[in-house]
Amino acid sequence: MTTAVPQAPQDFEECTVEPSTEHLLRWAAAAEDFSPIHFDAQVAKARGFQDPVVHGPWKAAVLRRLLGRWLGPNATVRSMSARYLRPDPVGRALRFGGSLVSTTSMPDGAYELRCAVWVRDEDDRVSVDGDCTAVFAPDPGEGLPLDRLRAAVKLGEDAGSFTYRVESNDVVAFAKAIGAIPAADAPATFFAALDPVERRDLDLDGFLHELPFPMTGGGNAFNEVVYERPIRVGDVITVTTRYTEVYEKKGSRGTLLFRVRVNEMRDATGALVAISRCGHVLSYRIDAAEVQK
Amino acid sequence: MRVTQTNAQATPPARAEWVELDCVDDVRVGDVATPQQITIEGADRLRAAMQSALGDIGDIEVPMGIADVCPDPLVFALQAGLPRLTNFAQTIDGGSAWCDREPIGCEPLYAVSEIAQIAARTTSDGRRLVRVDYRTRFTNPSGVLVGTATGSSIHVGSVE
Repeated sequence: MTTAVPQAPQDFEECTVEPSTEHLLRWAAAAEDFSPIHFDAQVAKARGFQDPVVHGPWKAAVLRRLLGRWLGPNATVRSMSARYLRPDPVGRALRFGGSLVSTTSMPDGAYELRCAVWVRDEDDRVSVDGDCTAVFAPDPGEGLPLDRLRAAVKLGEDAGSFTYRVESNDVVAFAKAIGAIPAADAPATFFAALDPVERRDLDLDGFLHELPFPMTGGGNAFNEVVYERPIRVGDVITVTTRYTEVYEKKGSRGTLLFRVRVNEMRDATGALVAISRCGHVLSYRIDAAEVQK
Repeated sequence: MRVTQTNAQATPPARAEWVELDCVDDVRVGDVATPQQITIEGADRLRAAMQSALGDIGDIEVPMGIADVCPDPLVFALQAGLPRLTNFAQTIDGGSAWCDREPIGCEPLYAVSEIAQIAARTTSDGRRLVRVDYRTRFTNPSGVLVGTATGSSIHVGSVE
């Protein structure tokens, strides 16, 4: 199966499937949809259908499986929608097809694929149409994709700004968690609680968890902060994150991948409150990649 | 445009454009079902079902997504307890949509279904058409949104 970046536009190879009652019963058990219009001719007629009809989501599920074949193993479907335009009787052949509409390169080195998909009956009438967005991740080669990662985190540039209001509850809960006495001034370690990455407001390198190398560990490598004043309840702090370093090292747990970022924190007046710097590490067993495949 | 309309038999919009509504009968935008905890075990049954229909094609490994744990978003939301319109000549599943935000692990997911949108229009032959969108948000035990699934219920009235 090809792992080259799919080029648009292109039509996908059509596939014909004849859904039987058995297929749909298995589906019903999985989807917990036991509506009798899919199995019982009398009920179907009473509901205005000539025959029992195929579940719409079953047709969407077939399309989703086929997208896996059409787009290849390097693509991951991120979103898919399907409109069920007309009922299809059980037992009739259905054609499943679609096309790759566009391929767009993304800043992180991956590609966004936009697809159109459809289902047609024996008379060539469209009974389902839909669209899909997938992400195609190029093969990383034999090592960690450092260049892709540097592009993804916008190394050296502002990666994002986020504004947080410091609430009393937050400070109290944080102080209790670390065994400190709650006060109007937050503990010094509270600066870490305003890290957009740890808060999952900024996630630029999620693809690192999908690399074809076994991950053997990960965690914070270091945290440091230089502050002008404490964080206080009621503060409105704008945090701007900038990645400053991406590098790898050999370690006892495999190849270590470091990402270092700086958070600049300013209050509502624009005054600098603090600058924090933190490093995060993930470790991979690169040599075992072939074994995993 | 959004209007409040509480009677299913009320005069439909004159133009064949979708008009957003706040409610129809006892179905209201913003209705939320009781949160559910779900496991990913059902995904295995789904894969088996697809393999039985597709043969070798069904063997294709695709990363687990929301469509595997919620293959029918409309049925899922209705089973969660959300109401469905009944006073119409015909009711059908109008469509589904899935959006994956984060990879799904082995841990349970928390699902909250809601009625996200109600819209109505008139068909070319003068019948009233109402679409109710049911959206379910799935979060992991850390509270991170891993994806959403939306199902549309279509309700067609009689010729007026």
